Amino acid sequence: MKAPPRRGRTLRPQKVVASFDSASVLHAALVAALSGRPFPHLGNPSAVAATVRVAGRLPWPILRHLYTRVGAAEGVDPERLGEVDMDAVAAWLADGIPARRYPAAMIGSSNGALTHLAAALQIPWLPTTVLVPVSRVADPQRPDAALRFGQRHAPALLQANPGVVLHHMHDQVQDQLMVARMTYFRLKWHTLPAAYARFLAQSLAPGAPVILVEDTSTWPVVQVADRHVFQTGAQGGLQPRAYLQRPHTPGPDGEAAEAEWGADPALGHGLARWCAANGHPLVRLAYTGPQAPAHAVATLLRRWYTGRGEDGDRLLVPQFVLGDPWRTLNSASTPFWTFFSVQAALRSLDDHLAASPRYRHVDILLFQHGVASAGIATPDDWARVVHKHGATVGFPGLDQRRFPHDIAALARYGPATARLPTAREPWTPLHPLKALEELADAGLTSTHIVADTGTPSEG
Amino acid sequence: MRKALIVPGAAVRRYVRDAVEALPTVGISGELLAAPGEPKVPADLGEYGRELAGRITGGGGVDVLIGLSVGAQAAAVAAVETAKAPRTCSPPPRGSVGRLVLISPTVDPAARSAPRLVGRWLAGGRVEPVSLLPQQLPDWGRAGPARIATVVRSARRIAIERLLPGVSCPVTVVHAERDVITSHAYAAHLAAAVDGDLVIVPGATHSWPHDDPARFAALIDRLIP
Repeated sequence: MKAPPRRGRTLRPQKVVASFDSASVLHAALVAALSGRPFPHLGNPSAVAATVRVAGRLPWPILRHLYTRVGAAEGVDPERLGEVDMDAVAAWLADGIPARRYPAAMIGSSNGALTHLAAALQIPWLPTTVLVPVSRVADPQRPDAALRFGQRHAPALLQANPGVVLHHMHDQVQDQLMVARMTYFRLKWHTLPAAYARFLAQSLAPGAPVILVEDTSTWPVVQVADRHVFQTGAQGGLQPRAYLQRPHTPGPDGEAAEAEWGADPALGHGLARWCAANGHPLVRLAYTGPQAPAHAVATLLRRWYTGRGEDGDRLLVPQFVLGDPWRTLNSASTPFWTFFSVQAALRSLDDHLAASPRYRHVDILLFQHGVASAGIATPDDWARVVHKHGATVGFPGLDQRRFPHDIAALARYGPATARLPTAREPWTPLHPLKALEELADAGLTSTHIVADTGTPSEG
Repeated sequence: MRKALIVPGAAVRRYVRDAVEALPTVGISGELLAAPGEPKVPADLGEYGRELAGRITGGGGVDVLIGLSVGAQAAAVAAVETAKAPRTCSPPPRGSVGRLVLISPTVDPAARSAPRLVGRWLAGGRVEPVSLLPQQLPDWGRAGPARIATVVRSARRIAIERLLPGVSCPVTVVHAERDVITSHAYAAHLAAAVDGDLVIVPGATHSWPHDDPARFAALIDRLIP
């Protein structure tokens, strides 16, 4: 095992955390909403967006090469993993949130639906899983080799960061392009980072609740070492079994929180102790799988809109990192977030449309991951489902002929959402506890936690 | 009939006349006050606010005091001063302010230097409706540059966030979605600091409620019982 480097030499958080990941982008989108700003082109400068729009016209074989290379440029040198400082990453995420007194805060799993809810509540969210991409050129179809790579390089990272668990993830189906030039180290805090505790202490109103967001979904893993598991595949178009049947796939020896969306249950205990010591109620919002909260959030926000006189008949389907909570709220568009363009998410939208009063129009922001992967849902699939429920459909910012290769959609969804009709009525942020009650009415229940023991006290 | 006093922005007031005239349609008697910096009216926002407080206290109070832009600073000064006056009954106590409404309150701490304030004001001009300037230019012309400069100097000096703890009535902060002079972060900070309400007006700019009388009247109607 390599000796841990001196703490004086650390990588800047911006160089450590992937800018294209669900946690970092959803966090940035919420920060924009708390700052009253739209969130076009994933928060990148306009010049970058213009370049992406121009590059998006290139033939796919060339664009594919560029897309992979640009993404891979974010990878951390594996020899420098010991210089990753997750305390600094937590401080960077907390410090990015506008300083003011908040009536509640969310902490936990990444979830786009809950990011939109947090924007409507005007409360912050502290992510507890982040992606650290690590440079590695390899055959995407060899997860076994990825596992060995992790065995070799992870110890320095883990030794330098005792507060995290490494969920090394290898999805050769949906991340086929990216895992050819990097590997995905997803790091989950299993203790409350000092910067998060400091932020909560400084930013919460007296007695304000802390909402622990826990996606309880799990995935088969190989236990590689203490605080180190390896996951083949990920939530999306295929079930775990389909990944495990593929060649060169290490056999799992257990289950763990799903790498990208799942929550480390240990964090809740530390958070409960902090809440008890600081006089803040802890509310646990638990669900299984990233798609689960979307229906309840959409139902709640639609009622909120119609309750103040909006029509509430326009649905906006943000997807993965494509979305703009601020523009969504200020156009009174009901957000039904989907985690990826896959059949499972499509079924969820179908269910929502079936269970809801009819929408007049549905706009869908389809994320482009560059691969016609197993289980993908195409624009035609989405349109068919929407039409079945009597609504018209649009794909703002997307050139459907290029799906799933229309990478420039990343830079076009912003101008498209800017053109959404403006809401008519002034609005006041939702009250957190009232929102939790209404979420429960819509099927997403929360549990108040007795803070000193971490055990549930009421449903 | 419920009574509202409206303090307009720097040396301008005709741009919100239609909005104030819409208030009686919802059962509110609205009086649009002279703008800070107008001829014969204090240009210093502190002095303006103290004079206004005297008028409110002497006149038996007001259900809602509404300040627009720098007028919000003058209104905050007035609300603090009236809160110091002895109370006789409730609600609202005779001689006091029932609710303070700060619309597009200035000056965001991030823009208190002269160059930044000018930069934001110029940027704001780019998103305002074209109908605004023809209504504001004659007002500014009447006030003259010296009085406007006094308004701006006092606006940079008076920090609403330091005044609000001295306000005893409920506070509502209204932020226009497309306001580039006052940041959303500042408006939200002000509301949170006094457990007040934050209201966001979709599509609106810093000059709201210019050109939007119906929404303005409906909002004020909702805010006061």
